[in-house]
Amino acid sequence: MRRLILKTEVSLDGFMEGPGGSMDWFATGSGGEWNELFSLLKGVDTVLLGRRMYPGYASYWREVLAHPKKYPREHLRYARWADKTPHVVFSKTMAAPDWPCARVERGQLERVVKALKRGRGGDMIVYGGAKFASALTELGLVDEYYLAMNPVLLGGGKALFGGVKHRRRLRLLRSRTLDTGVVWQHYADAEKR
Amino acid sequence: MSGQRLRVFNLVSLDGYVAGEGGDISWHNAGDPEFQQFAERASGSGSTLLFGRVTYQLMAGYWPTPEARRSDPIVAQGMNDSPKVVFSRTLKKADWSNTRLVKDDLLGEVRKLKRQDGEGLTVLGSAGLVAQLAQARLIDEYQMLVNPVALGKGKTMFEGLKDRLRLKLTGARAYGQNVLLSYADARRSGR
Repeated sequence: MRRLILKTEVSLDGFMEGPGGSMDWFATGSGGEWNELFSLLKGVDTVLLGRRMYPGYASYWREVLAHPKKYPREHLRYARWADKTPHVVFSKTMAAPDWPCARVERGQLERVVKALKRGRGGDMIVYGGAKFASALTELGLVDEYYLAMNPVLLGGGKALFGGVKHRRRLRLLRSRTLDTGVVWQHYADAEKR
Repeated sequence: MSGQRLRVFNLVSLDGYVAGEGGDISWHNAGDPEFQQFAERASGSGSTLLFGRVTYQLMAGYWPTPEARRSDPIVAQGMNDSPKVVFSRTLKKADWSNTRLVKDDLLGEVRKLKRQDGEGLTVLGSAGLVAQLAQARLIDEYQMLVNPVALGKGKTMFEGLKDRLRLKLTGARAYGQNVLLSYADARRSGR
């Protein structure tokens, strides 16, 4: 069975995004963070995205591809990986995206993700948004969680697991400290039947 | 160097809550032999414990009991012997051993305590208290024992925090399934 991995940055007060959707507080400047991410992506061949996250994500990484010299090396490396990796955007209303690697999926979330998992292929990764990640977690569809705990208190924003209705136990696999003070916590779901 | 540092220690869920809905702490789990050692050392450190009313009453109802002394004798002794301050306008009396009751001017009182020499100040639980102290930038160190549970809803110790606060990681260590993360207030570190 293919695994679904959720990877997200989170503040110490439990927010995935800052007030007003701000994402500028991520410590993504560090080589250590990118190494962790590329290592994680080795087994991944599909990206799932919520509708709200897609526009900002697509516009940024396509911009990096269009102007490669303006951006850090790791950003270009990710953009190139993304450009040749299938992205599935779950939305009933969004129009078909014009980025060739992305397609819209209008089917019911649980049914579609379960079918994807039964199919052939490598791991799938989801970064967000917060609502999409909560929905997948609540449905028990996430197999592993990588939570990058950032050393910051935001005071507000989109709560990690804000849409999770039932308490969920996870199992710690590994905790790793990076040079920026970000701690990557790797968990497996512990509630599977 | 004079004065003493203010530290906060709390168990937190993965999504940053100190308690679930309705103050539910049934998910709290600190059981691990090495963490037990940590707790025993910490409770015997001579640090002055600071509490809000709710946490104070919870702990006052447990640590002096024979049951606590039987199941956790070293921590119970440390907790019972420690000097304590409870901040509450409504609490009529605070009769857990070595307790001083302070009815108002939380921030002024904490500033005064910090100027005194001593073994340090530690806040346990007391989400509301922590929020006020954090907002006033009086907390020098945050220690969070992260439990591997996602609650979805609950109470954080940073309710009402108005400003973004950048912290500096000073330690990260797993104790069984839990991870103890320690942070200094980046603006205050180096003192």
